[in-house]
Amino acid sequence: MNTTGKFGRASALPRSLRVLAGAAAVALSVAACGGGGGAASTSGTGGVWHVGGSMILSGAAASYGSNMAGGMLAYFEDVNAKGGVAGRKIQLDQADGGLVAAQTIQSIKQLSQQNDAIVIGGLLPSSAVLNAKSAIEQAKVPVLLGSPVTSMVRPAMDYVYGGGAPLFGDEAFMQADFAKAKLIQPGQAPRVAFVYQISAESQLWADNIQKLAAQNGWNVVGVESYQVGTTDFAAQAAKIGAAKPDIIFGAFDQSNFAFIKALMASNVTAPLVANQGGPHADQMQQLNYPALYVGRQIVYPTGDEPAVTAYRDLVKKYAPQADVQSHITQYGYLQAKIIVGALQKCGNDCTPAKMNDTLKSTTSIDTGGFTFTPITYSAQSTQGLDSEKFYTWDKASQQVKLLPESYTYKGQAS
Amino acid sequence: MGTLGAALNGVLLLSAIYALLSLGLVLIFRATRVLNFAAGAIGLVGAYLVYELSTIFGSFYPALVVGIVVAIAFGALIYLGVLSPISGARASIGASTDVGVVLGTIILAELLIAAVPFFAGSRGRPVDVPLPAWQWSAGGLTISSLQIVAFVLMIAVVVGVAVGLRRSPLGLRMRAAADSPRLARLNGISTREVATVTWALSALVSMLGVLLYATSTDLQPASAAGLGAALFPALLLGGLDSIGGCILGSIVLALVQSFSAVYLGGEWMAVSPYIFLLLVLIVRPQGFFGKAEFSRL
Repeated sequence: MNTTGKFGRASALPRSLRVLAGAAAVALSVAACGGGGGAASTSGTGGVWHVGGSMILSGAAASYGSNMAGGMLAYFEDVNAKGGVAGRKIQLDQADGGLVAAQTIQSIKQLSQQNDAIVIGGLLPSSAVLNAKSAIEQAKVPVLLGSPVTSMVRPAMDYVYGGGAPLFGDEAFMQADFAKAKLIQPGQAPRVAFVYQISAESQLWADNIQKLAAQNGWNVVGVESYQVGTTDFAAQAAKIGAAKPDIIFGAFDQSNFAFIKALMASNVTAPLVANQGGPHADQMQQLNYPALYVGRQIVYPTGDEPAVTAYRDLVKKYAPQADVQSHITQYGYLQAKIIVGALQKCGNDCTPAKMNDTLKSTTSIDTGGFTFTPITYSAQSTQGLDSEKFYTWDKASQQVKLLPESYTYKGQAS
Repeated sequence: MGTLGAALNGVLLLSAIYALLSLGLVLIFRATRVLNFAAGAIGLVGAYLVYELSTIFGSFYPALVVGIVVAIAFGALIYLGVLSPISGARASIGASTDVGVVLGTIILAELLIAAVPFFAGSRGRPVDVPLPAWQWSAGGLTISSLQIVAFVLMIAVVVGVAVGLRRSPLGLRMRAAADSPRLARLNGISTREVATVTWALSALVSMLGVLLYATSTDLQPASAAGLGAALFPALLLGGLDSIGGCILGSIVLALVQSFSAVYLGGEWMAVSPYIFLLLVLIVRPQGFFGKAEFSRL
C-alpha cells in the first residue's frame, strides 16, 4: 500500500508552495529595499515628477545600483522635504538595467513607456548603454549617463547627457599628462603596465594609453584586463609584478581595491596612476600603497566644503545603506542635482521634450564645489566634465592629499 | 618562469576558498540531495558578523570564535525555519531531488544578498587576519603565511569532516539518510535532525570560505554571491557527492582560472572553467570521483 498516496501529496504541496511564496515575497520586498527602492510620496497638489533610474540592481555589480540610487534618493528626498519642484514631489522609479544590453533596453522602455519618466538617470555600464542607443533614440526621453559613451556625447546625440563619470578615453590623456608632469623625467623611457576593466569605454582608454606610450617612447611591459565581477586577481597582479614596471596606469571599477591588494601581495610598489574608478579616500588609507594617485572630477567626500558636508549629511539621512565614500553614490547625487536644476528651469508644464530642450540650452551647471569644475554641455559635446585633479596617498603623513594642478582633455585624437 | 610563477600565484588561497565552499555544498548534497545555491550568501552573513564583531571587540580571533558559534546556529535555523517547511515537494511530485528546497535556496540567496547591504550598507569591508608577516617569493610566485594558513585550515577542515562522516555515529546517520531517507527513518534515524546538523556544518565551512576570500579582496555582498556561482564547475568536476572530488575540483578550478587569466587574458577567466568542465564531462560524465548512476529504462 502506498502510504504517501494521493491525499498525502495533495496536503503537502500547498503548504510547501505557501511557504515558498511567503519566502519569495519577503525576498522580493527586501531586495527592493536593498536596491534603494524607496520612493517619494506620491501625494501633493500637482502630482509627482517621475524620474527613471536604470540601475544595476542584480548580479556581481549590484552594489553599483544601490549606491547610485542612494545618491539620487538622498538629493531628491531633501528637495521633496522642502516642497519639491514647482509644487510637485520627485519620485524615483527604478528598473534593473543590469550589465547587459537587453536588460538596459528593457529598463529604458519600461521607464519611458510605463513609468512616464521625464528623464532617466543611472545608466552605468557603457557597453550596454552603447547597444541601447536606438532604444534611447526611440524613447525620446533625456538620459543622463553615469558612465558616458564617447560616441554618444561627442558629437552630442540628441537626448543624451553625461552625468557622473568622465569619459574613460579622455582620462587616459589626463593620466598620461599627470605622469609626464610628476613621475617621468624628461627623456626617460619608463616601463609601463596598464590594467583595465573590460567595457566599451575602457577599451578606448586602453587604446589611447597604447597610443600615448608609443608617442612618448614608453615601453609597455604589461597589459591586463578583467571582467566586472572577477573574484581573484592574484595571478594577473603577479604577472604585472614580474614585468617590473616603473609606472602602472589603471582604469578601474569597484575591483580596484582587490586588484591593488593583489599587487601589494606580489610586492609591487611602482607608482600607480588610477582613473576616477580608483580607490576612495578610505580605501587609500586601508591600502597604504606607497605611491598611489587617483584622478577625479568629483571631489572626495571627506572635506568640510558645504557641498561635501551637505552630500554626506543627506546620504546618511535618506540613504544610509549607500556607501557615502563611493564615487557611484556621488554620481547618483550629481545626477539628481542636474535633474532638479533642469526641472526648475523647465517649469510646471515640463515634458520629456521640453526637459531635453532645457538640458540642451544649459551651458553650465555650478555644483557648488562638488566637482572641480562646473558641468558644461554644448552642441558639440554633452560629456559634462573634462578635467581632473589628482589625489594621492601620502604614506609619510598617512593622509590623503589633493594635488593642486588640474589636467584637462584638450581634444587630442582618441 | 616569471609567467608560470604568476599563474601559480594565489592558487593555494583560491583553492582553499573554493574547497571550503564546495565542501559545504557537497555535505548538503550527500545528506539531502539538494543543490544549495545559497552557500556564498550564507557564508557572507557569517563573515559580515565576524567583521562587525572584530571591530567591536578590537580583535579578530574572539570575533571568529563567536562567529563560528553563530554560523552553526544560523545554518541550523535556516533549515528548521525556512527550508524544512518547504521540504516535501520531493515526495509530492516524485522528483529525485527536493525541488522546493532547491528553489528555496535560490530565494534565500537573493534575500540574504539584499538583506546584508540593507542592514549593513554596501561599503566593502576589508578583513585582515592577524598572522605573522612571512612570505617567500621566486619567479613571480609569492607564498605568504596567509596562503599557507588558509590551505592548512582547508585540509584540516576537510579531513576532520571526512573522518567524522566515516567514524562517528552522526556521520553514519548522515550517510544512511543520504542513501535512503525512508529506510533511515524506519531504522529510527531522524532525517530532520541529520539535515539540521548538515546545514549547520555547511554554514560554518561556507563562512570560513567567504572569510578567506575577504582577506584577498574585501567583503562585498555581490562578489560573495558570485563566488557561490563560480563553484559549480569545481563541484561538477569533482562529483557532487565526493569530498575528495570537491577538493580536487577546487584545485583544478583555481588552476584553470589562474592559467587562463595569465596565458589567455582576464576576459577568459570566468568562462574557462566551464570550457574545461565541458571537456571533462564529455569524457567522464560523473566527474573525477562521482559515482555513476544507472537507471532502468
